[in-house]
Amino acid sequence: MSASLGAADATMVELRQNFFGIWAAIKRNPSATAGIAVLLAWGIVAILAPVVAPYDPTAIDFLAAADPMPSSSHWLGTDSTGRDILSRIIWGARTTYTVVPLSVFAAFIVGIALGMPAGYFGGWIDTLVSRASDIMLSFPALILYIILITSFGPSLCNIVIAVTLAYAPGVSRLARAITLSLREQDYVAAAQVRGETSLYIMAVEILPNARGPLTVDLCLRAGYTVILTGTLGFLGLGLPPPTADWGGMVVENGHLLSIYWHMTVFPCLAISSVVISCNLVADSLRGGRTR
Amino acid sequence: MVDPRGNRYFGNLGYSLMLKEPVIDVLSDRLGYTLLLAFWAVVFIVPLSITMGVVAGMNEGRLIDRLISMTAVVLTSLPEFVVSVGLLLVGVAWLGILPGTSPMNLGSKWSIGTQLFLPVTVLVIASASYVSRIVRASVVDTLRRPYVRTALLKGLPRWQITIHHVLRNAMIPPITVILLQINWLLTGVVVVEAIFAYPGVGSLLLQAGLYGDIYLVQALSLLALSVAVGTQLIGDLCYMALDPKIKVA
Repeated sequence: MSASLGAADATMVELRQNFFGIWAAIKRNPSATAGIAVLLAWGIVAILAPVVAPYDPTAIDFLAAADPMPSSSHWLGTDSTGRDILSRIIWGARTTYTVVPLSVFAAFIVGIALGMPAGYFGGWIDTLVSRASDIMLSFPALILYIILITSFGPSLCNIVIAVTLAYAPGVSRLARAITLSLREQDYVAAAQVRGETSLYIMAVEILPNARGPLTVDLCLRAGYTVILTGTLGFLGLGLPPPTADWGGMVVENGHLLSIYWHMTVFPCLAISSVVISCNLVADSLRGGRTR
Repeated sequence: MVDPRGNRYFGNLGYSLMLKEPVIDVLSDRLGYTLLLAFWAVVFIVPLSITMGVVAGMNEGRLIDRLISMTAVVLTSLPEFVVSVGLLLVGVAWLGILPGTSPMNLGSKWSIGTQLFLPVTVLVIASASYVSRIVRASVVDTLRRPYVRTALLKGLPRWQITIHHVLRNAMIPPITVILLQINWLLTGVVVVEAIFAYPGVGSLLLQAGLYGDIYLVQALSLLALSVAVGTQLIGDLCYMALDPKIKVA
């Protein structure tokens, strides 16, 4: 705990040293710029999916199914049922860019809402939140997902809830640790003397100053969530089948790997590019430091 | 028919709905395979990640560090199923020198060693890249401590500083992470086991979850929590061995 707090402090100081903070840290670093560019490009593709996708992601081309290899009409080929791989990857970006931001932001809102009061007030609130998150964290995350999603069924809402439950404890721990160190700062004392409410101090004084470590954690967790949603799709626990989902595409065609490699390899590359970009951005924000 | 609920307060884990066998028998079958896989993974993960992390950390900022760090970032970013697909493509589809599944049958034409190779490799790639980043960060951090500068200034040879001053102190944060990897190896290898049809605890959990076999899921959760608590305890003992300042509270 104390070690992670130290690292968080160091990152924070580093980020506060330059005026634009996070943005400058990204611009300094070419690999982070590349990461941001890839993430933005996928974002644009996700927004424009209906325009840029050459085919409907669920449309079946029976002629192409006979020869699914990449061709001039299907640039990345089709899958075994004759659906265009490129279109499915483009629509899959939409799936990823819906599920991942929703669940990561939900986890951060819940985690910060629990962790900041725990660090700020201490006492029984702290004990309650810390013990609850200890219990959640000692439970292996993947088991939690499998139990939650097999019992409540795979839907967007349930995936978001499962990710929130699994990540919120970690976020609240981080938010608590940062709040613990920031609440001793002079500007917090000044705000208290001014008679500001606790809510104001946490939201306006502490939260903006905690943005450095929280942003790093956000990038890392966004990367993990892409892996996770891919894995859930791969295990058959993602969004239900006709939806274009990168992880689902890998498992639907995995058994044909030795003959039709393109059906599996392109969705794999799509997932990897997003996760690698998230990690590159997180890495540069942290200044090469690892938690 | 045995009462499926069992009497778990006295060690009876009940009766698996899916496999129609007592849960304890199913678990003891599967746990052996999981231990085998975890053992071989740890044998490679620990030395590999510590060597890579220390080499990168000692040469911070140089070419070798940038190479190792970049490789590690890329490899940690790859989901397990992507690494598996890549290795299957090369080892099975193109070269044809490895089996595509690892059901651990003694009678198959592939030896047990070749059946273990791919699952172990995927686990090592997924885990060693992550651990080596933690080791690197910890080594870099330790090198900046005043006692390392003192040791350097009093004229100790570089290897002696590395072994006595840096390594011992730099190993404390990675131990937590290595133990978390053991947690994961013993109860969380769902994806790799599912891909390679490996008869371990992870694939059992997935099947039990999908089937709705509540007694099996319950027993596996109990196992996961016991492993988590056990590794936590071992971690605390390791801290005490490495750092005399840490005492049991």
